[in-house]
Amino acid sequence: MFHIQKLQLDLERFLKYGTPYFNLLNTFTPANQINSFNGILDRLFIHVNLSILAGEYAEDFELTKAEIENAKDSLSGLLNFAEFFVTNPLLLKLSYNAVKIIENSLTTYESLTHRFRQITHPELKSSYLYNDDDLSEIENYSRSLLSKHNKILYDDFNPQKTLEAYKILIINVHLAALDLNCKPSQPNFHRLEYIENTLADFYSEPEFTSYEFIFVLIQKAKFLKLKIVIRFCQEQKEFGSNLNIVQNSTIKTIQDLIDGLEFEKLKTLLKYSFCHYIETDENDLEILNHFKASKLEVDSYQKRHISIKFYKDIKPDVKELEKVVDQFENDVYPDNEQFNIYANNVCVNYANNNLFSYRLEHDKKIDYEEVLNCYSRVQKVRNATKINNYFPELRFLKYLTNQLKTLLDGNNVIEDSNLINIYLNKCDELIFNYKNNINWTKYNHSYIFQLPFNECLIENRFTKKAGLRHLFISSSMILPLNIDNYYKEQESYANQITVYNSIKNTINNLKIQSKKLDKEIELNDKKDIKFIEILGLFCAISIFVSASILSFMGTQLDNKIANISNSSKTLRQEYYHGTMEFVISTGAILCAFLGLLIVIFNRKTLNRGMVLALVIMLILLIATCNNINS
Amino acid sequence: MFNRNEFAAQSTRLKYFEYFLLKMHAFFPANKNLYLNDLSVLKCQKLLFFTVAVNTQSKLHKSVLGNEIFNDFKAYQYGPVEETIYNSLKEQNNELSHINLTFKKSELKFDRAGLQDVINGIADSGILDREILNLIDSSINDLNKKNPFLVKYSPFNLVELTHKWRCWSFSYQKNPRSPILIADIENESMTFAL
Repeated sequence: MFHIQKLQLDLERFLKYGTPYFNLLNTFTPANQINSFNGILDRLFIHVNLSILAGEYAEDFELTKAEIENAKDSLSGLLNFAEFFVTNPLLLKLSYNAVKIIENSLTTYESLTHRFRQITHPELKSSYLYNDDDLSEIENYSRSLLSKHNKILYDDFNPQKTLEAYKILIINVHLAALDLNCKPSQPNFHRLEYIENTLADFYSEPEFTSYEFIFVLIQKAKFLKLKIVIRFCQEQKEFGSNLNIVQNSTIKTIQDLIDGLEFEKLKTLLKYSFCHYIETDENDLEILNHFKASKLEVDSYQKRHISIKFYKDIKPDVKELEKVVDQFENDVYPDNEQFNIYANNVCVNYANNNLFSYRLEHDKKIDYEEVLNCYSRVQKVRNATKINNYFPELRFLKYLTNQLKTLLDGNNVIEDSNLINIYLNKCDELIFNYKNNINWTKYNHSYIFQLPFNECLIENRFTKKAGLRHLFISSSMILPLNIDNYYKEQESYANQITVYNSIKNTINNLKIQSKKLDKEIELNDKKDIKFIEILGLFCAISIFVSASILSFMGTQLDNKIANISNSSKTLRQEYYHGTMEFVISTGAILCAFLGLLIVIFNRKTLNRGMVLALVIMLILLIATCNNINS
Repeated sequence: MFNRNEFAAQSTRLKYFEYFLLKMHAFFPANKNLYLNDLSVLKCQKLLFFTVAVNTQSKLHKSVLGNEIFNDFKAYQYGPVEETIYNSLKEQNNELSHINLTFKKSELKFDRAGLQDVINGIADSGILDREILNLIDSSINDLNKKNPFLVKYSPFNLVELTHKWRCWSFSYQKNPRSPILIADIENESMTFAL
């Protein structure tokens, strides 16, 4: 039977046998009346605490919620009963106080069930954002209720004890809340340490001898605290150093602290998370041993968790990973097992994310199209389960930025610019989704893997001694996410992408410039051809002119030589002078012509002046020839 | 449906109280054939007290309810209780002509769908003074305007709220179960919310 049902049963019994019970109480001395009420209150109080520790809200949410409602109804019944049937003023006060304290406790318990519902029903977009800071909200709320107690407590109860008992309940709710959603921060570490010490103080008080569950609570607080420590260790390890804790002036290693726990199962869970999260060769070996010698049931979620780690990081095997994904996807739970449905949803995402990550890291042949397909598959899973985790974006961004780096470092940047554009557009979209999903995760999701209810239970001699059905530890071996790191990572990717975008813009500009240059070169080539054409024509004309002159001169020369041989020496001299003039003027004009050509080639332009100069030179050349002829 | 004979057989105060109670039930609508209310003995008494208190502030017919109908409020440990009503109810095992009151809720003896018919039946029967019934109606409306959530308050919160009223603590400190005077209620700086 659920502890909360036991509470309800007790309350109903009081209501049923109220008259004889109060008649009996009337015969007691006031001191005994108070003792008697304290006893009842302890009993009811323990029921509420045990119900929280056993995770009954996760086991059967609807039933627990209904029983809390029923218990509240019964309390209101008891209040009604007392008002009308109890005449003894002391008993009236006692009844009111007892009923009110239990009612407040149930209200505090209800706040936990709301929080639980928010986390396990991600599709319900509630206006309540339960995050880390909400713990203080619960605390403040509970304190305001407590202050009301102070007003009504008079001297009847032992007010100190009632306040302390109430504090224990608040701590219990806190621990349950941290087990559902926790930030591995220093304040939370100190909070848990404070909780642990406060509980240890209460546990040693004689008034709380009947509160055996406090010992279980202490173990739970230690366990949650050590998880945060392991997360710190992991972060330290990235900088290459080990983390030790100073406790009571002695330095302790994380292993010492784990060994300090009393619950073997909690020790095993922590040792496993240490190996899983802190990647060293020894730890990998430990995981391998876990995997091989695992006594776990073949189909447990814990076994599947080890399998994913093993086949992804230690002995990569995509087929085996796919098998695990299928196993998760094929699990079906009835509608009323909401916690198991939630656990399965979380795990389906986890397994698919790992598969996606595996493909991006290990599959060298994977092309962009295929990556897009894998991503859309992961997105589909995410949309169906409403677990808006950010891992797919993180992995995809890592992949794309690596690809971009390779492309930008390569020699074909301009040719690859289209691909670079496509990648960068995708990156912009991913960054946007990444940011949204981190925000979602911050408020809703601390543990990326979730065991089903029956794997979260711990039973041992201590739980039995406390009268507890079982201890429920929902976060099991999973460490809480340090979301701040992912915000930083998001920022760093965003910066990287901004840089890449500006490189892309430079490339695009270069591309435009290079196109312009190509066009001009093409145009200039055409111009060169034109110059060559003109030059060719000019040369042809000048060669033609020179040739015709020379041939004309050749015949003339023959005649003239014949004549000259007969003529005087003076005439011969004149002739040679004329020939010399011709050669010199033709040479001068050709030199000027060549000079002009060099200028034209250097400038690569042809203006009117130059054409005019060419024509004049041509006319001069012809004129010179004619002059000679005459 | 409206049971004229049984209704008429009750004392006048209980008749008015039953009418008040039926009007309170109207705040708890039936949902999918499921009818839930937490109008327990204690809760009805506290709500009755607040309704009478609101009436002391009305311009017309000021304090008529507190003076003529429900004029026997006593300061109990858990807040004011109209003792005559309470004792009469106790004598008949918390049973009215159309309602059974319990410590957790009150059960209608007819189908919830017929609630308005029964209320109209009482109003049109001519058994009760129409003006007083109108006064109960308007006081309930005024109370609802002051705090629409008051009807849904848990009995604990209602008790806590009445403990804030000085007319209660004044009488209770004098002597538990001593009368709360209508003049004290009139002079109260009334709070209707926690």
